[in-house]
Amino acid sequence: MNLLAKETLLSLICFALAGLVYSAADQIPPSLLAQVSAGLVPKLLAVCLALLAAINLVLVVFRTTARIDPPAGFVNAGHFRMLALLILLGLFTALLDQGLLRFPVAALAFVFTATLVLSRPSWRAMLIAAAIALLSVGLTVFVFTRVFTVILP
Amino acid sequence: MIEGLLTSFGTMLMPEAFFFILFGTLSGIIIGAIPGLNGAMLVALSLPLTYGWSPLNAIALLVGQYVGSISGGLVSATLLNIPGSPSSLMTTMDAAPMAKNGRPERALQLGIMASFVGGVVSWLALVFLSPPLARLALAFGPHEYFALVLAALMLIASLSDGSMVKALISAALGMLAALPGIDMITAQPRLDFGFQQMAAGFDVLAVLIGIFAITQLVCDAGDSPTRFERLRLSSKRVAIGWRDLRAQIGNLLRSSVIGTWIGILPGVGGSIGSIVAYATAKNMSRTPEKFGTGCDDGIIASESANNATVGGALIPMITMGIPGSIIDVILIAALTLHNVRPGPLLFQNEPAIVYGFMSSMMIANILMLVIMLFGIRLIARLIDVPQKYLIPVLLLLCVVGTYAVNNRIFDVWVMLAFGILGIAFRWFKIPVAPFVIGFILTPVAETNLRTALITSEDDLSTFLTRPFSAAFLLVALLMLFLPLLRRKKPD
Repeated sequence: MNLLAKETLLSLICFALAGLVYSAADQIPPSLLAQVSAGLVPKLLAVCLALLAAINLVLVVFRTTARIDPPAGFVNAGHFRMLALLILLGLFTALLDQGLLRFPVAALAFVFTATLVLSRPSWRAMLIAAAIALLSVGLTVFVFTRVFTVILP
Repeated sequence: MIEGLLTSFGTMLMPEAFFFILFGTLSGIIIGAIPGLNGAMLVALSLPLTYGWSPLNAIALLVGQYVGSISGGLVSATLLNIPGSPSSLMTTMDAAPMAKNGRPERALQLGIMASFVGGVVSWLALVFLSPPLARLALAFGPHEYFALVLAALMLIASLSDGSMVKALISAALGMLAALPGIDMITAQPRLDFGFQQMAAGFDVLAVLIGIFAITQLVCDAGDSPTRFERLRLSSKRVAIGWRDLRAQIGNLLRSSVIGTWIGILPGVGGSIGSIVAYATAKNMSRTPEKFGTGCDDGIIASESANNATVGGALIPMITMGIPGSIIDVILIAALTLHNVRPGPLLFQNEPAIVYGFMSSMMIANILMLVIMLFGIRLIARLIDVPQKYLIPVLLLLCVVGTYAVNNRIFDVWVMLAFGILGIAFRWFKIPVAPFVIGFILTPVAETNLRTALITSEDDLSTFLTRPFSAAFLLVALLMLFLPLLRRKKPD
């Protein structure tokens, strides 16, 4: 994605967010307690954000290098690892949210899989991942439930 | 004041608080030494643990981590030629060449001594500048506070890396993120978009852990898993002498003062402090050509300045509630978590907290000196721990830490969302500092703006007729147009 496309995307996201915030703030009814309503600051900020997004877009349109495409091979193994970790984190949170697995089981599965994603696949890596998962989850559960008396999901 | 400070030293030297400072400093040094991991991440991650503690113990741990993480970056900057933390970026310029030339012990010892002196100078500034500044800030009303926050935001936006427009977009997004929930003046719900959990707004800790820790860890996972070749320390003991320090006394003091001053500026951390001090030392040196080849002056300038930013950054935080650096944003969140509001009234209402900051910073500095001088070989080995084993465990701690504060899974989703936002910020090259400062200061700014408008019956001119308010607005305006002036005068 070249710079122009990237900055256009950023500005569009900002415009959309500004519009969403402005319309939501506009629906806040005026208060009898204060003349200045609770929607004033959100509306001001939404207008500022839209203005800044417009300035950003104008500035990048006039930049001559903005249309040059970056070298190919943008998506690499690093991006795959990042995406895999985010998906694993999302799954871990969803499992806890829905109550499908208890915390220790879900945490063991998460740490084990995440360590494997970051390591080269081998039997040794699996053994190390299992050891790290057992140790870290065991310690976390002990510290948070016994020392800090947190009720884990 | 002296009596209060001595009492605080007594409290902080009691076994419990002392243990927290020691643990904080040690963990800070280790995390600061590991490339990729940084102090902001560590402090954000440790914050939930302090929830049930006394505020003083929390301060002891977090200040220790702050001091330790800034100093720890020196180790990897010297032995790996990679800055362990952003603040030790300039240290690599001379410490790594000196280490490569067969003198890694000397580079480390110079850096450690300079870090200590920088810490002491900024501590003196913290102790002697904070009380008069707090007295001055007591005269501020809502007009002045709103104008001050605006000036701080403009300052951080103008000093951020890259485009100022993007820095302002970042600040605006941070401010918007602080708005959902019950309005503080009219008690009306707003911007909750039908989510009941958002009635209380986004939890500060979930946002901070997301934007600092999750972003950092996931991006580290994306980096190439290459193992860096570490230089080994020789077994014979080498110690720098009094003569080495005496030759550098001017550089040490000048760089420490520069670091302290830059630390006071809102949102500007150790990296800019060390860059400015390094450039000044080079400009004032009789042998500027030696900079970058492994000279003492470069290491001392960078390390004394980055450690001096710690004390400097605490000054506006304690006296006005304005964070001097990103870690100070998390410290403000820590104080809020313990029902303590930083600002000028802190000196009157909670003097123990103020002196707690001062005494724990000094003790952490001394501990940093001792730990790093005597434990450097062990710390050097710890930076060999592969990140692929650390990242999953730290991610697990992020989830548990965020959940533990309110016992809500919703906060974990918020953390994840802000982690993804932080990654998007990196992709779009948007600086994160204005976002977090905007997020943390918006409640203060909004309440004061609306209170000022109510008290002055919607008369905006009162912002210009009050001298402090007008001065702060002028600073904000100057900061807004500073990049244009810089562009016209490229030299």
